[in-house]
Amino acid sequence: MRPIRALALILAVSVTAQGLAAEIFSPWSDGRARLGLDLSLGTPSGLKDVFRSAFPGVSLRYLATRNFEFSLDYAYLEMSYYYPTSPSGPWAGPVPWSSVPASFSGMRTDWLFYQTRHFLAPQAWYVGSLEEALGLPLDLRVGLGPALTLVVPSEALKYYPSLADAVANFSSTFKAYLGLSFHAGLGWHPTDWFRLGAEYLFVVDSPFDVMTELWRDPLGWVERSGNLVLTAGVRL
Amino acid sequence: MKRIIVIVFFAVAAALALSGCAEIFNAVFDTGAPSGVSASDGDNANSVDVSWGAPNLSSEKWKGKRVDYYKVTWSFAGGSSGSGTASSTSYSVPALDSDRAKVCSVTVQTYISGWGEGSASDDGFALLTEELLWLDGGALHTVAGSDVWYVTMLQRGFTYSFDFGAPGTGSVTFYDYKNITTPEAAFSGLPRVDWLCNTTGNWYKYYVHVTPASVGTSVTASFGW
Repeated sequence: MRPIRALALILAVSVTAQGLAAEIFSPWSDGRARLGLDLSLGTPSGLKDVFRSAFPGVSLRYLATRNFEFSLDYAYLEMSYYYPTSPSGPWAGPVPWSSVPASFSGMRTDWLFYQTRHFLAPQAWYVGSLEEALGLPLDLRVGLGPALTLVVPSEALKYYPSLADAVANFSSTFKAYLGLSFHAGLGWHPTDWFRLGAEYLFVVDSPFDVMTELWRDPLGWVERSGNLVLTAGVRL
Repeated sequence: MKRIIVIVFFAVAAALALSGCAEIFNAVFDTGAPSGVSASDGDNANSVDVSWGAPNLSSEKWKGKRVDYYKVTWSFAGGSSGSGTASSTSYSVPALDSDRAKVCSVTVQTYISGWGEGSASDDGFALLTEELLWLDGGALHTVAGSDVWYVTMLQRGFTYSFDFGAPGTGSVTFYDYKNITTPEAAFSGLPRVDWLCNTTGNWYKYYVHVTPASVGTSVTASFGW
């Protein structure tokens, strides 16, 4: 590459980066950052579970500039159950309640042998307005950050050693404790203080596995591994 | 008319005092009593921890006065009794081995300018416990002394069994956790106890008091459904 071309390229990249930085860090008109609170509903597995099951969540948001946000997202993913296959063991699980044997039916509300799964993710967001382009109060939203999946067993673990063994066995094969989460979606804000959104969330615990699956069946992976998340929130 | 008012006044005062509304009584009549007296329920084997809040002395009645100390008086049902003083808002009541698993009534009285003022009470108990683990197929437990108090979690709808190994017999009593006054179920003098758990305890936690007829007897604990 000739020096003049290299210089032009550096200049172009620099100007673009400056423009992007200026947009991301452009403050609110009154110079005051906003706070937000979103409630959400997500599907455990992409588009397949939209009408079958959902997990609730909540996000606290700090809108540093018009285009840049931080959030702390929490979601209660699921409750799953363990059960003794006979009085002399072994224990099975974790399974949804529908897979627990019928001999325990009617005990669900008092069932001691369970674990809950929780999702906690601090995220950084880029919010790009589509209002000028589309004439609608729409935003393009992209978020990225670490994701922590927590498995919390019930206190009964302490008193039923075989339950403890079953939970430990599950935990040793459960991979997504610490991963990377990626959001992409659209937000609609009919007023300054209210917004609705639809996002796709991916939690990646092993980049190598993801690359392999994406290579093999990209659409299948998106459908299986993503979570469709619908949000409604307020901005203060 | 005055007589009626006086009678009503004393009737209300007596009702408040007698109906267990000591906190309300103390608040209404500004007695200077400590607030929220709380005695621990089985948290320790050798003591009952008592804590309370300082009285509110902001009214005209107590202007310029402050608490000198608190007098703590206790009595274990059928056991020891005593008293002590505290300058802070907590006290540890000592429990002898023979006081364990007995209800301890604790009263805390405020002393202001040398005078005993209002008081408040609570019940607690001291308890030495072991954790009872439910192993698949049952597990043999040796009761070292004359009896043992276990803490455990029980599943409503499951049957919990204690087998003293006939001809051995024993007694088993189930209580909600933090409560030793009202048993959920009690069995005595049996070689084997089977209890279908039909309650939810205190957040599914229970005390199980096991007393073999002979000291040193082992008991097999198992569960089923």
